Amino acid sequence: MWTVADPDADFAAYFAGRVSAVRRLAFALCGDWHTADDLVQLTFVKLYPRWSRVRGGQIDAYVRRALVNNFLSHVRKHRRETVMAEVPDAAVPETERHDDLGQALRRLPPQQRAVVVLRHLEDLSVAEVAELLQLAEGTVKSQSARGLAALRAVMSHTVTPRETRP
Amino acid sequence: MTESTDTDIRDALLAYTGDEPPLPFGYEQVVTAGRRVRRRRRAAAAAAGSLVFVAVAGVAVTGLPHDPAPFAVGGPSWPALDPAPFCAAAAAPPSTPAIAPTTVVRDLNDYRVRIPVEPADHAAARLSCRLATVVPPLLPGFRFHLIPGAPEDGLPLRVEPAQVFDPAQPQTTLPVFSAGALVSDDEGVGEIGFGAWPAGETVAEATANCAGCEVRTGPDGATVLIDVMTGDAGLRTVNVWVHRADTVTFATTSNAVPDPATDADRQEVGRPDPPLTLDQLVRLAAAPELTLFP
Repeated sequence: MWTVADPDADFAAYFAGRVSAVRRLAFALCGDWHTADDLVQLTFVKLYPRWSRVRGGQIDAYVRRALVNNFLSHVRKHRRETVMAEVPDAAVPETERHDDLGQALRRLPPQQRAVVVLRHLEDLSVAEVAELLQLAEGTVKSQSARGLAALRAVMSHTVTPRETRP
Repeated sequence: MTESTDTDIRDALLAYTGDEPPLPFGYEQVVTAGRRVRRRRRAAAAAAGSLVFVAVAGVAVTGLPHDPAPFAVGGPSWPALDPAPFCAAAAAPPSTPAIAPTTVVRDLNDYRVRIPVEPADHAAARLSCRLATVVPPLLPGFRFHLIPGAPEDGLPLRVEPAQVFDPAQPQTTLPVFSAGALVSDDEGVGEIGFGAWPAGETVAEATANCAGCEVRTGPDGATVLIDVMTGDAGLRTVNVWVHRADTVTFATTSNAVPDPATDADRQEVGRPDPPLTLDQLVRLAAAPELTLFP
């Protein structure tokens, strides 16, 4: 018996449950919500026709890979990323702390940014990040270390402002 | 300088990404666009010489041979198709500029693909006019339904530009037109589909790539490739490609219907026989009116 039932119930459930987390990942990668939403929408649109094949496996891994690939493609198409100002060496109000972290993230090369975000926001292992980005584990470790050093420098300014202010 | 821990970094990243604005799109938009992507993929597969709208090797088929009707098809249905709006649009001058005469050399095989100059929307109307005129008389007593996943405002057998040529991306946007419908009668439900695209390979290459296909010479010296597939569960699908000059036309009929619960990758036997016969398919696909270079 062939009937037109609702074929998308589990896709709907996955979308509802995961879109927020996927948005955060996208925002961490690209640094603005407008682009993040474009990347997220594109990722879910591409996921939909593949759902029957993907849903039996690692959906989250598929979505992360698709999102990162969309992000890297976006960067290649828009090579002129915003030139950011130097990180201020004076203390900044707490409300601007996020902006500084965002600036520091956006200064990282796109692939290194993806490594840092996947490792430390998504909490993936080195091996998982290496597989997702098709990199050697050693490359993931070194890029993660460099990226973290940049973020820590910013956080040192903003977490303890009195130490950096005369 | 204070050394931040990994936990601090994660907390900072979570805080940085935590001020989410409202989501500017919804699930319905995603699904609508996703269905559009799926239709384009199927049409593009046809353009690549694959079998479109049909089960392919490895696709699971469920149901019993000659599983009796009735089959329930949800959504709207049409007892007839009205070609008048399409024919009127086709008879009117194009509302969009013609495409500059272009040939694209495919990276894949160095074949020089001639790009139609007729605007895609005008060509779609012209092809829709033809199909809506000639197909219903071949299917007396049938009702027409949308293919699952089609837009709610869609029409059965309305030809859509499944892929529109973009001069900036010529290798990946060779134009493709496609149309499809489920059709039902007392015996059950089947699927019919049509496509047209500019030739992207020589006839010899197309023949070689159509392993097991029957080759016939059609009207005006056209080459007709025929592939009849029979599945274990009673699935029968007939595909016809007609190569004439710079146009390839495609027609298919199947007694299988996509299983919406599995994203159209599985198919079920919907009726004992395909709705159209092989001869009908050949005549439909070989009609000179379906050329992309009128």
